[in-house]
Amino acid sequence: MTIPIDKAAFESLKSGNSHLFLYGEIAFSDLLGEDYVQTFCFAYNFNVKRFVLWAGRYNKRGRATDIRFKV
Amino acid sequence: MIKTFLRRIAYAALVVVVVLLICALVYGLVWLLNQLSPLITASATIVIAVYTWALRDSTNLLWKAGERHFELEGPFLHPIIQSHSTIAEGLKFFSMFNHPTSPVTPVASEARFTIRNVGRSLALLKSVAARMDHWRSRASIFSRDMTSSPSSNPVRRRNKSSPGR
Repeated sequence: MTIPIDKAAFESLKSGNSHLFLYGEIAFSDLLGEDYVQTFCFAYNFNVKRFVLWAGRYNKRGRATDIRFKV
Repeated sequence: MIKTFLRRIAYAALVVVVVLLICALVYGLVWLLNQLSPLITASATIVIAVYTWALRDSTNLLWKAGERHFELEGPFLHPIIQSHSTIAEGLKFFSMFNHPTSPVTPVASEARFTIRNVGRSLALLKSVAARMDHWRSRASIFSRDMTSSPSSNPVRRRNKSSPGR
């Protein structure tokens, strides 16, 4: 995944006013054919210089039929 | 001879009386139960209802145990960040040219990840959709369905299922 970061974004990241997020969904199924969705969300921590897991409610696994995350 | 005969007659009469008493007792008991049948039916219904409620609770507990078992034993695909050095390098670049008059251009930041099955059973990977964005607020990201959104950026999408591990 690639995005451009300009100086304004850098200043915002550095001051902690914003974050760089890597997020998405993984769809998979088990051997019984049941479909599941795993959502994930990492945020780049400027202090430790690496991605860390963001809030737990954005990193969930559930059945594809009933998983719809509400913020 | 006559005494023996009379004694046998007396025993026979006693047996008949006892049998008649037992029959009367059974008849009375049946009659009593028949009179109390509505009460007995109501009591049995209450007992069955309580038992059914207890059975419902046990079924719910069993269902929760199954869900818990799935959490522990089921497949669990999760991305593992492999590299993001470009981000650090880009940020370092801005740190080096941190003067307001420095002519800096946007730096492409990149992150790579792999999908790993950290669960205990086999998973069949179907699709992966991921984005990287710069957000002030995280609130609106999941308000849309990523899998159906045309703006989503599918990294990998397969028609056929493939092993995730």
